[in-house]
Amino acid sequence: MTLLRGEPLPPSRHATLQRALAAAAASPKGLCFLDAQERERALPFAEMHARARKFAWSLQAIGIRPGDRVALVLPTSIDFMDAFFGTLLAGATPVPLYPPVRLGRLDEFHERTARMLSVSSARLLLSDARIARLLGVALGRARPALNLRLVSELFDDARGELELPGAPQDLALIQFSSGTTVDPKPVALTHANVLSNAAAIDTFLPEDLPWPQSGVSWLPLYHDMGLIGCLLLAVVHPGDMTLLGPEIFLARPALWLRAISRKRATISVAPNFAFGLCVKRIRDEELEGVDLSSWTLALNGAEPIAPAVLQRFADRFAKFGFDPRALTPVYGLSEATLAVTFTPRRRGARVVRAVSVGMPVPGMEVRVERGQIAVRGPSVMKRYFGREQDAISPDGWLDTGDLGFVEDGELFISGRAKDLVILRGKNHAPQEFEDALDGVKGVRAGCAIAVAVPGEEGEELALLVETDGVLVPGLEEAVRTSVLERTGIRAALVRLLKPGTLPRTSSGKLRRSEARRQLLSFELRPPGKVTALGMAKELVRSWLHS
Amino acid sequence: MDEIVEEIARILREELGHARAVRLEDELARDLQLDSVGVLTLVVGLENKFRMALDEQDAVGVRTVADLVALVQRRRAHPEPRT
Repeated sequence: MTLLRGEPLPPSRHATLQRALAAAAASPKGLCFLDAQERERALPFAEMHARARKFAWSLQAIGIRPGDRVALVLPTSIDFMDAFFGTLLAGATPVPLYPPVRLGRLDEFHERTARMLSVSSARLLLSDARIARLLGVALGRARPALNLRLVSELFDDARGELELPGAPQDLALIQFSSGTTVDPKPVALTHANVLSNAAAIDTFLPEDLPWPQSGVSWLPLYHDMGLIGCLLLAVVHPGDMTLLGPEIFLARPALWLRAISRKRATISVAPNFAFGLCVKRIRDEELEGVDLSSWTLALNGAEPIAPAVLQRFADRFAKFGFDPRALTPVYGLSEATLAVTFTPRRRGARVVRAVSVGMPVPGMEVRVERGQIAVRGPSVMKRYFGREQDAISPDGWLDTGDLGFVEDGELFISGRAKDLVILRGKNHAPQEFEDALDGVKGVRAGCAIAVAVPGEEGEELALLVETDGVLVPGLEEAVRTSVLERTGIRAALVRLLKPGTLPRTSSGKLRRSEARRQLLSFELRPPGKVTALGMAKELVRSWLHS
Repeated sequence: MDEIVEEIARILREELGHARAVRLEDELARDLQLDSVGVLTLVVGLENKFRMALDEQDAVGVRTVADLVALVQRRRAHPEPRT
């Protein structure tokens, strides 16, 4: 067993997020929203606080009471800030949910939203006019007591102000970053949890640079890294934070780096895939005059980190002033609020077999026992919302489900115990992909396994599919297209297998992690005779696909 | 219409690295192999170029490039009030 312990945690400067917001409002700092045309809309914390006080009044007027849960389905916008901080000032708990994706699959959105409303037992759903039209199905299923209200209307209705104090052990928010569509997990965090993690991250932001610490983020606000690591950190510090919607980054990644340059930002965080996307998609013309030298903390977390991507990003953007020592691989999970380990500040990435994710942040302990990673600290959640049982052991340890090892006092992540596919920072249950193969002609019903495999640019989706025994022409393409249409994810690898090839338990259940192991060690083969020629063919096929 | 097809082709080529020419009958998933980020890139690109907003509900019935072109034409003719 190996134990890693972070530095002592500096005391949180504020007891609750309400207090942190009031303190930020007394500073000249604030948010800045950036649209696709790079137009800016500033929202100083003072204005954000004043708006939230009005919004809280309206919430109370329609019947929201301290302790209630209020769900938010909103894009990155001033509406989101009104709703989130207004809910807090009304003494209630905000529950940010995923907005729908344009041209995305709506039935999946309805189901996901209904489930999340139910498991958080939200009394009210807040949205905007554009999204509200799509929320009927979810509302019909979950039936929140106060139904749906539009943020802009509630804001205009305010006839007073409200700011309830709250206590450190009150619920500050519920976040769903760690679960999947199939199994949403309501991570319940207290003010003490959130503020202790923010204080730990804040130790990486000393004001010792030629310019003030400030951030840029395009991360969604319904995800722990965007909500806590960017928005709430900016409030706690307090520092300027520029926000872009995730769709703006995905459509034109250059806008992220241009914003960092223009704002002289020092901190910006993203999952591994985003760094790869920048290398692949940004052209030099788009970065004319861009200077990334202010960017001292380029945090990389939320999904497995590919060393090749770090290297390519550093090489590609060096001529724009990017300092490779800014690359800061990190590890965290939403059950621990966010941050668990950070690479030492301004050291750069360390790669030994895998990418080091550094050492525990202040106040955090990490234990690796037989390869299993557990964490303990003041920001670790006690139990999921609404559950009877604690998620942590009696002495405070939370099993992360991730596997890893320690070398030279640093943590390395090597895999995970649970069957999950993490793509673009989002967790997917393998069932999402396997179910998407229902009804594909030529696929043996219920005999497909989706697993994550390491690719050059990070984790990729592999589909191991047993056929009916007769090979239908174009089946591989049909499999790929069906999954793409129904999940929006493209499989990097599709393997068609003879019936009976996939490993099963004695009761006939498919064994995903064993199938994955066999795939990666070239052992996946049909039952029966194993010939030397067959083995050789299998090997060649594996190489061709890797 | 040509203008819209051209813009789709440009986004596919310049933003998404597609090498081959685009045909109206191409299906977004099957032929162009667009994943959710690919589709989003296309949507946001078209919105910026043609100054209109595509809706989440618009997804219904959009399978091919021709469907997408028709949708953009509809939205340009009848832009929805944005609140």
